[in-house]
Amino acid sequence: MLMLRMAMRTLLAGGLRSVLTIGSVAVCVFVFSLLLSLDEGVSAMLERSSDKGVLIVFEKYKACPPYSRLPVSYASQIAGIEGVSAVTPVRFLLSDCGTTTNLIAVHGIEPDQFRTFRALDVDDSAWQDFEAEKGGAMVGRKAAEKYGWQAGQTVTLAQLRGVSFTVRGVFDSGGSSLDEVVLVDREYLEQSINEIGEVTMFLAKVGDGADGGAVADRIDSNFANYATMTSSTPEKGFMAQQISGFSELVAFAQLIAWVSLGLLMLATANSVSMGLRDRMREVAQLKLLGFDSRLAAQLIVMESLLTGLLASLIGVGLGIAVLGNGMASISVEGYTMYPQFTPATALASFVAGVGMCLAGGYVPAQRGATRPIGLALRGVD
Amino acid sequence: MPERGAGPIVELRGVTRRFRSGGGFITPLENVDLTINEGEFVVLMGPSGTGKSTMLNLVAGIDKPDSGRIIVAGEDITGYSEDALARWRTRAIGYIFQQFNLLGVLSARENVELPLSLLPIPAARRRELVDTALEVTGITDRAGHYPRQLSGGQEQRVAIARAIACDPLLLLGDEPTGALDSRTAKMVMELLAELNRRFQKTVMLVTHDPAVAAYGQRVLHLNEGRIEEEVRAAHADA
Repeated sequence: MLMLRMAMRTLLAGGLRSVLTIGSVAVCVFVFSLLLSLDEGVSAMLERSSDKGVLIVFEKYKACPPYSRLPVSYASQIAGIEGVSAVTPVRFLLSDCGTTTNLIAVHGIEPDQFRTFRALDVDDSAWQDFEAEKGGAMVGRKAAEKYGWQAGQTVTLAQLRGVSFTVRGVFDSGGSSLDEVVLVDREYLEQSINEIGEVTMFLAKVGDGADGGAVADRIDSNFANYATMTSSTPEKGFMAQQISGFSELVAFAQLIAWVSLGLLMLATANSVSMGLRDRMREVAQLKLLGFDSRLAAQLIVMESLLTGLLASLIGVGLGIAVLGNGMASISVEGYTMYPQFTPATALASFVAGVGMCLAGGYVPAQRGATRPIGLALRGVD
Repeated sequence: MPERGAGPIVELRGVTRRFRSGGGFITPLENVDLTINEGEFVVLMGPSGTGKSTMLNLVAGIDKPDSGRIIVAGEDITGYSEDALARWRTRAIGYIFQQFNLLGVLSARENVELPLSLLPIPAARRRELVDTALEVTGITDRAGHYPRQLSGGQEQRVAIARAIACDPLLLLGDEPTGALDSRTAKMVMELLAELNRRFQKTVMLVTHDPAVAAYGQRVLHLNEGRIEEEVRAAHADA
């Protein structure tokens, strides 16, 4: 206990140096947790936004939604293909291909079919109003919160070819990317932008017992000789392909995460080394009182441990404050990814922070504690 | 573990210590023989660089001789490792510095408790030993104070309390009054003399100050690596 008190007070007595060390470690832990939460976010988005029983029928060779154009007339043919139990067209309207943190995605849908493909938590009477009125819209919960839209409000999106709609209600899709989307009637959307009869994709439901891969092959074979060919994939694979930008970002982020851990260890090692240089006589006094090198090193490592505990708490706290409320997001091609700050992320970041501080403190502690006492007492480095 | 007994407590046998200096060597101690008996109060004097502190450091196990043997309470410590010496010092040596060397982040009581915390002693007994050490050195009323809140004399009293807390075989002091005014220095020396008289603590001090040397039963004058002269006080053999 006395050694613990000593370590705590030494840390407090370190003043600005301790504050800077704890601060830099806390920032590293925060960055690490942020980068981990990106990875979790992508996984969660794929999990929440894709239905294993749904195929996405997209235009072949088109990399991103704004460029995919399929005739709406394909719907009836797809519906007739063996293994398909239902089909509905969707028209995307996005600002552009690429990433923006302020992207609004408008999806033109068939209101009477769409809810059989997507589980939405929505007021039925609001949905009925939406179905009944061509210019109505249902707005995802996060989009409504982000822009402050309320039922009854008429919105004109100047940046999206002047599309305008009246909000009829707000829906919740359970954290999927639809939460940031505005749903409008497909025909109304096509008329608004004067592009009739072309859709971005079809959602095709695979019937019970049918093999999704085989059904996808049959759809693509059916249109193989058409001027506009299709590419059908299970929704999860499609999304993974669409958000490959995210995946690359996440892979790079993971590299940065490990670099930040390395920096954290070096920062701790540097701080402990600098601190020990000033405290060589103190370590020698401890050894004079009977501390062997193992005990002296333990005391120094204990200070690193306390630094790690405190800094990791702050770093994880920052992570919870910034990412825990789910407000931070990144959007690509109409898909919005929310970094997921899960308990596992918090725990992993905390353990990594403490572990790296221990590792960073160990070598200088050993070096300081094994210095011959005679040299240390004379202050010889 | 060192055992207390009658007879010699410190024996230096043919001890030589050299240091590198520039291109050559200096030899503060050369083939020195010395015996100090239990309960003696020995003072080492001499010009700077004559090996007084070196001798003290050798006895404390802080430094090692180039040749010869050092025996404390019958235990030959010459071949001990640094870590073995550190553990041995907890029980065997109480060291008092000129600059007190208290740990600033610990209170007076905690400074005294620190070496005791290394021994397998129950907490209650440890508290008793701390109380006793503080009481003997007359610093009980400052037990909760931190070193920065104490005067030089009070700090040295705490340092002495820390040095005697583990009931060591030997009390060593390197200029223990060097940083104190003459009145405070006298109080500290009275305390060390009291510890020697009342508790038969063997004391070995280095000083330049004749007033401090006057407390010694034996005063050893070192010069050019040897004990040049030994003066025994009249009361030394009484």
